Amino acid sequence: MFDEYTFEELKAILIMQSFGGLSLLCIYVLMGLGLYVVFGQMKVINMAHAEFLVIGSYTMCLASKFVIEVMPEFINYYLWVAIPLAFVVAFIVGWIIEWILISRLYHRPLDTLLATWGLSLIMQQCFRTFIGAREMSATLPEWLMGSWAPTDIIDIPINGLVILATTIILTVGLVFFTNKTRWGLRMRSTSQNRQMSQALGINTKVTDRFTFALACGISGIGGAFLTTVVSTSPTAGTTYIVDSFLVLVLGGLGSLFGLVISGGFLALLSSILEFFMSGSVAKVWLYLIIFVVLAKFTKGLFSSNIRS
Amino acid sequence: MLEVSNLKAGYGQSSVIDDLSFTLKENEILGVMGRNGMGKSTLFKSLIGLLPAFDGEIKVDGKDVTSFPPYKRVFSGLAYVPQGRMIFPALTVTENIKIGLEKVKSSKIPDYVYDYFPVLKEMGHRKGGNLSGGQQQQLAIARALVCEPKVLLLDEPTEGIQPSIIKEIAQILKKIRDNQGISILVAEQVLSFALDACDRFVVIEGGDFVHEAGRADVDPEKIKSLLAV
Repeated sequence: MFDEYTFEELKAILIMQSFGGLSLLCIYVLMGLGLYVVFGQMKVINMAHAEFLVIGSYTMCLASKFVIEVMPEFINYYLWVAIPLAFVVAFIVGWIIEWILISRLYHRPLDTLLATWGLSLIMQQCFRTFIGAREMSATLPEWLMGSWAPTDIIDIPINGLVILATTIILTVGLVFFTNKTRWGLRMRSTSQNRQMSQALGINTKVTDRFTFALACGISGIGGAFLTTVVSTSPTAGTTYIVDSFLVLVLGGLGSLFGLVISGGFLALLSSILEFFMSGSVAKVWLYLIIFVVLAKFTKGLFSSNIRS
Repeated sequence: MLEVSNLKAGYGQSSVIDDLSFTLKENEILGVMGRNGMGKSTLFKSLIGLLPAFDGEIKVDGKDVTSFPPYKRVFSGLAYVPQGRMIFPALTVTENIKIGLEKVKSSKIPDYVYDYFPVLKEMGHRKGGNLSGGQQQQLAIARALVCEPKVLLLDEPTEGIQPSIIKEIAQILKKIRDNQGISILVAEQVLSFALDACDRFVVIEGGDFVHEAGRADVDPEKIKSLLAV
């Protein structure tokens, strides 16, 4: 299948497709960060996590609609308000859901799996009923839509660069947050020993709620950026949830580093495969490769080796 | 400082402690002696709130804390050093101590901690899990101390620790009591440590106190016989 391309073209394809993969990687990492934090601390597998991505996307779409109708002169700047807003909305919804549902299901992993899956269906229907079943996309400011051409045949989209920068900032920010702040210390101590944390004055219930909401908020930011690449629909999240879990499992559930590397591996592979073959055949190959890798490394590529 | 009346506590459906009452006075170190399985740890866990009290009342400095979750009891003046230390192995020594600062709303570890346990200053950046047993015990006490408690609950502080350090811990406990003006309840099996550190002794058996003695009238042989298997 490589015959019809020259070597130069193949190189350009590789670079451009890797960059396409990079935007995908960023979505995976933003999703994976949230899943990782929630699973790490509460041992809850949140099947509804992708719906928070969609909440972020809708926040962005509705914000752009609002800006166009009410104050079109701000169309170039609304992003800087819409993205924090996506975080806040997802954070608040996450806070409420943890309070009403998740907090009652700790220590029951199978029940949480079922409950959060049900939650994802409910949320999808809510999007359909209250926002509309049709696909929706945000009107993007002009500066975001161009591309950057370092050579004649390589074109790198600006929105990809922006997503990349945001993902790096968020990941570094989250690491800083967990390692250097009081909330971060609460989160780390609670995830290591819940009872002892309580006995030292930490309100672990509120810590759990905050952690869950934070994870949802990060996912919301991911969703806001997703609208710059693809349009949003009520079920858009289902496309990403499986792959995000795959990234998490492949990374070994042990470290943030493993998450990024396995996310990169998966995104790159699927992006490059999809260029040369149809989407579903590419998926088959992707899953086959992951299957082989997981058969060899049963605990994932970067499992942690801490004594328990 | 700590008043316990008619306390009934245990695991699930089965109660280990039935109708226990005692008082810990201000600035007192009270030793709760007893063999394994006699209810020492159950008592301590129900005092800090990790186990529910089925019945009875726990008062700290006159305030009823019986219905409080653990973190609220810490805010009411209790601090807890569990059996087996339970430090956070993957966090550094400094971070371990800082967790205890939840109540005082400060991010600075007070200097007196390092006066009592200078080794924790040197080891500040080490992971808690890499400390020796004795050092971990000091860390666990330091972590409880920065909660600025009125009552410190110490569950078997000498377990798995070499004799020279046991003696040192007894001295430090008395110093802490004098300088910080707190009351200490300590569960213990090692008689020499208790005789060294405590002002008053009770022996617990089957969830109830069967013997009590003050420092002046203590009969080591009597306690020894009660502790013998």
